[in-house]
Parts: sequence; C-alpha cells; structure tokens
Amino acid sequence: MTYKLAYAPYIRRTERAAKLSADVLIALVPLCIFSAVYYGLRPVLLVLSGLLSALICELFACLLMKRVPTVGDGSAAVTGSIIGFLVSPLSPYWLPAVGAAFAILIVKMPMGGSGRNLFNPAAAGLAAITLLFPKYMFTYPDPGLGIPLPISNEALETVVTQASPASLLMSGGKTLYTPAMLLLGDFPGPIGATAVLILVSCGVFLFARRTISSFIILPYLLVCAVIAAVFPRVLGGQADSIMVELCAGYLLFAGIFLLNDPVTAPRHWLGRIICGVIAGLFVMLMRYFGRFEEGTCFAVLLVNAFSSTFDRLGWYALNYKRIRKRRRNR
Amino acid sequence: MSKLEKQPFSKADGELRYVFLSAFLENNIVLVQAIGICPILAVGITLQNGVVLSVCTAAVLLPSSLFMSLLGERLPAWLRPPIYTVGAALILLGAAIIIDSFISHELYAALYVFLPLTAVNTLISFRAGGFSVNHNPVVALTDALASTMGFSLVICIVSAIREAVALGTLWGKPVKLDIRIPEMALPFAAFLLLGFISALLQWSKSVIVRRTRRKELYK
Repeated sequence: MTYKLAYAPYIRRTERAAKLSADVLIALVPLCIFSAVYYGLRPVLLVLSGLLSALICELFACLLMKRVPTVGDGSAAVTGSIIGFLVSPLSPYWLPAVGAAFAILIVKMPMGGSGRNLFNPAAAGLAAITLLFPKYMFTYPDPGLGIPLPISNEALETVVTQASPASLLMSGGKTLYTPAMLLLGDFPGPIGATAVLILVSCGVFLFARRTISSFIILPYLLVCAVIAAVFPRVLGGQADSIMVELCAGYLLFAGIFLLNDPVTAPRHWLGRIICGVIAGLFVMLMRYFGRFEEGTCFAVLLVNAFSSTFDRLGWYALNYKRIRKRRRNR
Repeated sequence: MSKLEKQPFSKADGELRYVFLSAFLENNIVLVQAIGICPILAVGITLQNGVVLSVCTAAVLLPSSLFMSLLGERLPAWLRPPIYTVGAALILLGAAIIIDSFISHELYAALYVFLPLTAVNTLISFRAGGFSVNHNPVVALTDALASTMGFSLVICIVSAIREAVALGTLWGKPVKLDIRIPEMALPFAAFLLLGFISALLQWSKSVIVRRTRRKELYK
C-alpha cells in the first residue's frame, strides 16, 4: 500500500485546492462589477494587473525552482486579485503588480510555495506596498460624482479626491455617513472593500460552500465591534462608531478573504476562535495607535505568525484535564 | 570539567579550526543562531555604523571571553553576568569617549543608544557567559574572534546593501545605482535581507555537503 504525501491545505470535503480558489475567485467577481459601476474600467484593469503579475511570478519562480508549476491550483490568482482589490482605484497600474510580485517572489515561494507559506502572501504584499507607497494607497477618489476614472496614469491628477472614513476616524470628529451610504458603498475606499452588502453576501456564499469558517470571522467582528463601542473615536454615539469602524477600510474584506486563507488559518475550532479574537484586537490596536489609517494587513500577518500556536492552545485547552491526569500518573 | 579540557593547547589544530569555522560560517552567530540581530536592524544602515559596531563588539567580546574562560569556573553562576556586563560597559564607556571626541560626533549621534547596548547584547552573554566558561582560553578566544568576525561579516553586508539602496552612498561616497528605496532603512528590510542571506548560507552548505559526499562515493 502506498501513501501519497500531501501538503497543506488539508481539506477533507473538497478534493482539490483548485476548487477552493475557484470559489474565492467567483466571490470576488461581483465586487469587481460593483467597482466598475462606480469608477469605470480602471479598477478592473488594476485587478487584472495584480492577477497577471502574480501568475507570471509564480510561473517564473516554479521554473527557477525546477518544480512543476503550481499556477493551476489558483492560489496565486487569488493572491494577486486580492491585492488588486485592496489598492485605491486611483493607484497606478504598477502598484498591484509590485505588491503581487513581492507576495509571490519574497513571501510565498521562498517558504516552499503553494500550501507551505507561513504568512498570507496577499497580506504581506499589501503590507509591503502600504509601507513603500502610502501616498498611492490612501488617496481615494470621490465615488459620488459618477464619472468614470481616466484609463491612463497621466490623467489622474485632475480627479477629485476625498478623505476616506478610515482617515476621518483617525483625525476624530464627526463622520457624515448614513447607514444607507455605508451599506451601498457610497464612500471612498479601496476597490473591492467598500460594497458592504455585496461583501456580506459573498461571505454568506463562501460560508455556504464551506470555504470560510464562521469560527474565525464572527469572534473577529464581535471583538472589533466591542472595542469600537467601548472606545468610540467619533462623536455621535456608540452605534455610529461601530457602524463606521466596521465598514471603513478593509476590515470586513480582510475578515472574509485574508483571515480564512486555508493555508495560514488555524485548523482547530477553538484555535480559530482564539485567532479571530486576537486578530480583532490587533486590527483595532493598529487603527488606534498605528502610523497608517488602515493597518489590517499588518494585523493579519501578526496573527498568521501565531497560527500553529493557536491550534496547540485550543487542543491543550480542550484536553487539559486528561493531560494533567497523565502527568500526575507518570 | 576534566583537567584535560582545561589545559591550554591540549586541543589539536584541527579542532581549533573546527571551532573557528563553526562559529564564523557554519553556525554563523547571526544567520544560524539568530543572536545579536537587534543592532543590525536598528543601526546597520550605513557601512560606517556597521564597522564601528563590529570593532566595538570585538573590543568587548575578546577580553570578556578570555576573562570568563580563565575565572568563570571559580565564580558562582549568579555572579558571572553582572561581572562581564559591568566589564563590557566599562570598555564601551571608553570606546564612546574615543568615538565622540576623536573620531566623529555625528557617528556617535547616529549610533545613539546602540553603542552602550552592545554591553548587554545577547552575543556577549551567549559567547562570554555560556561558551567560554567551560572551555580553555585558546578555544574561547578563537570562538570569540570567529563570532565577532561572523557578526561583522553579516552587519557589513547588510549595512552596505542598505546604505547603497536607501541613501545611494557607500562609506559616505555616492554610488551609481538606479534603484533608490528609502524604506530599506526600516527594520523590516533588514529582516528580509537577513532571511535571504541565511537561506543562501544554508543552500551553499547543502551544496558543499552534497559535493563532499559525491567525492567520497567515487573514491
């Protein structure tokens, strides 16, 4: 009898990792369409730029490592398109390409490639471009105008920009967003992270397909909401604070797509709950005390580092009595 | 400790070479043992800083290693760390005065708190307080020298790359380089560089092992 050596993600229900990636890519498509409605063709091209760069880098790295190309499992496509979705619609086309190249060539492939990466490559690529080019990352166009953005990079200077809710939260004061505006995505922000209703329905779709786990995202959102309610940064009540904090930036997007990455997320259910709680804590700390208006990618990286620790912690917590009894008997 | 190991020159030359190569390259103090990373991240931004820090490390580590290998066994374990830390601090006090008044005030300002922090660097406590205590003076000195050289090799490579890419200079002189990334001066860039240099070291080690095995096979 021969056994096949398998690498993470260890999935029992779906046979192949390709199916998982396909689910995520399908869930990302409506967000892309939504962004195209508000901003024209430019966001679609940005996403494609990230996606193509990730695929090419993965192919190149696989050839360099003399390995069968792992482009087919779709994880590189997911990484690249997530980076494309989280840049500003006003950013130049090379920005998501650089982020995806960093993610694949520096974070994913040196660690051993698909299924063996320690950190979420998309979060790492985002962290790199956030640190290197914060100017491009955090200038957002005004979505209320309804005018498509120019396609070429040179014509971008004339576009009307607006402060995003995340930066308003950082400077304090009162935000003017109504719940309807926030739910419909009528506020400046990254390409794919503003459409809150569509994001939630994507989350429900992925949850129904069992691609994402409610054990991570529910504690994560709960902790974020509790911190937002206890320490509000806006004038105007706790409900307002919770609403704006959860919708601003890409907190929700990160909870659905980045934290639930099957390779880097913990596998034990209690470990997943701990992971969600810690992630929520880190995200809010990054927002309250961080240098940038949105530091969710750094929080995701921090949590990924402790992923296996959370797994072990969950297992120990459940089997604590048995382990103690065995130690005593020894 | 047996009497044999305490006698100076009892080790064969081959073993001394082994100790040297082990601490210098094979188990490089920074790349493999991950000791003494802090100054590299924080002030390993220019080559000048790197060289000064390696000289200071040598000035601290060599005497304290010698001292601990001569007297370490006779001292109680709780007394060893304070003694070599105070000694290192005294040496660094002298070094700081020399750098500040004779060499360059800017350099002293750039090194900031990391010059005195060398006294409590893990490098000193692991090598002088750990390895040297139960080895004879010659071996301890060889190890200290190799550790310092390993540390200075890594800090010089990292700081030279960071200076060239972040500031566009090398030892204060402009270098022709098209890429200019000011963020290379941030700590995360040093972490990435250390990781890749460490991977390069491991790769070259594996290549050497494979070659020697092949030679043995075809003898």
